This record gives sequence, structure tokens and C-alpha cells, in this order.
Amino acid sequence: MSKKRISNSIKFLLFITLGAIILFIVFQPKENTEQTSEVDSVSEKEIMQDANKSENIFKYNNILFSLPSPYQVAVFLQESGIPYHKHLLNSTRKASNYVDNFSKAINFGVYGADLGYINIYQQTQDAASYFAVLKIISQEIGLYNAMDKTTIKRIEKNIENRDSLMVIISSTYRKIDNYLKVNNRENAGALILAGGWIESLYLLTEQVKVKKDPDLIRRISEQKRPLENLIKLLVPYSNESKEYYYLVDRLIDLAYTFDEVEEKYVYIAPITDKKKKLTIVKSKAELLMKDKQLQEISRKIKTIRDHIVK
Amino acid sequence: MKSKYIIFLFICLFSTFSSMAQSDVTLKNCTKYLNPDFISDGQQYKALLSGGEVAEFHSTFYANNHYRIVAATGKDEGNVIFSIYDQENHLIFTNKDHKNTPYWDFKFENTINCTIEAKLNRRHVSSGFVMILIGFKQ
Repeated sequence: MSKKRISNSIKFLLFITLGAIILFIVFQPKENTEQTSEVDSVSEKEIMQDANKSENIFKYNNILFSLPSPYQVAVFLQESGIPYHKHLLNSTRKASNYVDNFSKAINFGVYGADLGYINIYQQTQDAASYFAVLKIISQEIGLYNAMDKTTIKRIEKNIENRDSLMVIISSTYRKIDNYLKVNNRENAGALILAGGWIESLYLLTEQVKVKKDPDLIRRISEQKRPLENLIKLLVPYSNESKEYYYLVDRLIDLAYTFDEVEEKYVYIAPITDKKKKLTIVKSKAELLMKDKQLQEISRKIKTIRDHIVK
Repeated sequence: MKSKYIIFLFICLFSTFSSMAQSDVTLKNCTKYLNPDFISDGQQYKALLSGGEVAEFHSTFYANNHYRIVAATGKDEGNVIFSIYDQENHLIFTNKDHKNTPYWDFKFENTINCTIEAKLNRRHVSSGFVMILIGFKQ
């Protein structure tokens, strides 16, 4: 092949490559619904671009573990008629104490759960100060892409709107979760989830001390499986630091107490409504938690929580 | 020789862009069924599957809550088959019975621990990202 022919084919291929890039940019799919663009900011595209850099998405032989949203716990508390208790939350003044990555990540989860609680009770002033802290920690732990300027502005704009804020913050946490996973920082992502879960259970147990609401007690016992999932998420990183090891060790100890909670399950065939695209799951599950077990769980979660927020 | 490298570079670039487009569309296909009525649980479950691989998601669903599970891969709908099993492995739901619908709603009368299994519809897709989102209603 002559030099001239090689040069021509190089030019031709470069031309095609350039053409492919331009075509991709011009014709990439765009969301045209206003609702979606409102809730999911432009940063999602960036996150998805980052996602392609990592192939390490799966752990534990294609098994993933999920945790219930801290928002759901806050809703249970509000629905039970318990008033807002600011003193239970982790003070924003403590934020400057968190200097290492472990305490920053786990307290990002704690403050996030607190913000969920504040939001449900519509305490706008507190929401602003807790969000300010979350904003600072997010920058310190390198969540620029997931917590970008657009997202921050949207949250600040909707700080007084309970429902919008709940949607925006939940979707932001989802972006953060994805961002950390695809950037091989699953350890930080797991800590954020841990912080949120610990704070939620702490709030539940502290409120039950004030009002022995059977529904709230049931909600505590229902944390048995989420705790197992959380431990499975954290265990791979337990040797990363003493703090990590301590956390996993204490959570395993807490799981022993949860294991004592008696569980009954009866399968009942679900009912499916094709038109509504809805399945009603009717199976009966019952968790029988004794007073002693509740006290033990409350004590253990308080010790863990006090340790992480100190 | 040079031209081989360039062809290789071209293929790499093309597959990167194609993969970017697939992930982007997958996310949008999922979120459009979640917003604005359902609130994300704050997590994004994603798996790179090929062939008959199955992804498993372990989750707890609270009593008296209304959930939506959305699953997608790429731009075309109906290419993810997802099934939900209870803690005793009884099949609660499979979208296979509903033309591989990309989403389904669930109401739980009691708090139940479930396993969601997701796999690709091998008739149309041989590999790709499967994304599952879980949302709950206020």
C-alpha cells in the first residue's frame, strides 16, 4: 500500500469518526417531559458517562442489597402523631469535628436522614442549616458531579416545599449512590447508607422511649432484614480501618439481638389487577419482639450512633 | 498496519458512544415511570448482564406502602424480565405474564422481605446494563 493511500484511508476514517461523534451529539435521546427534567437534573448524563468507566458494578455474585429510605421512617414517625424533636438530631455544630473520610461519609448519611426528618415535619429553618452542612460535606468528600450547582440550587429553591424537596433529595441520594459505585468508592456509598439507616433506627428507638406506640415498635422489629443487608454491604470493607471494623463489629452484635426476634410468616396468594398494573401482596408476616429485646436494641443502636456522631 | 490501529480506535470510539447512549436512555426510561408520583429509595441498582445471567436484589418492603418497581435496559422497552419472590421463594409477580412491562406497582399488607430477580430478554438482547429503581408513594 502506498503512503498516499494510507494517508487517504486515515483521513477517511478520521472523517467517519468525527461524523459519528457529531451524529451522537446531535441525535442523542432527549427527555421531553417537563416533570422529568424538573426532578432529574442534567448531571445524570454525566453520571451515566462515568458509569461506563467502571465494569465493577456487581459484587457478591450478582447480588445487591437494598435499604429502605430514611424518609419512610420519618413518615412513620410523623404519622404516629409524635411531635418534632430537634434535640434528637445530630447537631450541625459537630460537622467541623468530622475530619477523616470515614466520619464525613457516615455523617453525610446521618445528616441526610436528619434532613429527611426535618423535611417531613416542615421545619424550614432547620432544613436550611442541615442542607448547608450537607453541601459542605458533599464537596469535602468529592461529590461534585452528583451534588452539582444545579442540584444545589434546586434544593435551595424548594427548601420550603416539602413534597418537591423529598423528591429532589431522594433522587440526589440516588445519584450520589450511583456516582460512588461507578467511581470505585462503594465503601463511601455503603457508609452513607449506614449513617442514614443508623440515624433512622436511632430516631425510632428514642421516640418509642417517649411513646410506646405498637406500630413504631413493629417498625423497629422490621429493621431485622435491612440490618442484615447493611452488614453484607459493609463487610467487604471492614478491614479498611479500625473505625470501619468497629462499625461492622457493633452492627453484627446488634444483629444478634435482632435474631432473637421471633418471626412468623404465612404465604397468601397475591392479587393482581392487570388494568391498574398493581399487585396486592397479602402474605402475613409477624415479628414478635419482647420488651427486653427492644431495650437491648435501643441501647446498642444508641452506642453505635453516639460513637459515629461524636 | 497503521490503518488497523485506526480501525481499532474507530471501533473503540463507536462502542463507547453506543454504550453511553444505552446507559443514558436506560436511566431515562426508568425515571420517567418513577417521577413525579413515586419517590426513589435513594439507591440505583445496576447490573451488567450477558446471556442468561440473573441479577438478584434483596429488599424489604414496608406494610401499607405503595411501591413501584421499574426495570429497563437500552432504548426499547420489554427487554428486562423481572420477577419478585417472597422470603419463602414463592413467586409473587413476574412481568413475563404481562408482556415484559417495564414497571409494576405493589401494595404490601405486611412488611415482607423479597428478592427481585432480573434478566435480559434474550430474544432481543444478548448483553447490556439492567437498571432497577424502587420508588414509594408519599
